[in-house]
Amino acid sequence: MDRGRWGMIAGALAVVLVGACAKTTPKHEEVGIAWKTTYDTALADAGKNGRPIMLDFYTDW
Amino acid sequence: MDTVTAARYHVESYPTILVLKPDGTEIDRVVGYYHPAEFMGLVEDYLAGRNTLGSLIAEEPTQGKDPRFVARLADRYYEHGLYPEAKSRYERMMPLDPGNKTELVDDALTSLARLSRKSKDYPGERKYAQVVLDKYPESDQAKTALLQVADSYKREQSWTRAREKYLDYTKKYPGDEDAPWAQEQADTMTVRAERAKRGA
Repeated sequence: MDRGRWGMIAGALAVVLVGACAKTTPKHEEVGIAWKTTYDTALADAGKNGRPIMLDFYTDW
Repeated sequence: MDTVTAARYHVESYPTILVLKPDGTEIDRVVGYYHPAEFMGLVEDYLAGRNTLGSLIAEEPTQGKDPRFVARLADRYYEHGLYPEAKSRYERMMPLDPGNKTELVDDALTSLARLSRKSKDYPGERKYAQVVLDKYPESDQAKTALLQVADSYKREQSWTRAREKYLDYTKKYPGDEDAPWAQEQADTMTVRAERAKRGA
């Protein structure tokens, strides 16, 4: 809900290159994602490999 | 750095997940929490070019009279931070579905109130929220609308009026999870009203 207690807090940032393995991953197994934490590195990597990027803006407040 | 990137992509709330092309241009975004399967469905759609804001915009000329479509388009514009575009679509909802058969008109009005608040138009926030309360008092947005009315008075520093509305909330929805919070707000409004009186 949009209310006073929702302040503008800067969220953390995580980036992952979407892999082709997503579909073959077993459904209920916990699989960690190797998130990159710098936008520029992720972008450079994605450009090199021609892979899409998932950019996660989140917060832990 | 994070804030800069968030601003670059007009990220307005968390969590927001962007799906980007390899060159960094946005395909589309997922705003808010979704069940994992639903989330995957959205991302797969986007990667296949389906259900993106761009594809919805292309459908508007043919679907623009369907209130469900218009609501969806408006929400998507809103999620992208494209507020004027969102606003004009939300405003079409009441004429398109005057009887609120879709049960989406109250949502649209609540969003319009939220947009007004974002641009610090507090009378506007109140106006839209009041329409929900007057026309759709049984809707699930009625609670939010009442808090929006209270909030708009608070923003205008009309402490006494804000207090009344917060108290209305505690009386109308005594068992609600937000009732204690509304009571707290009402108490704060009392203090502020007294302080304002003394200062005058």
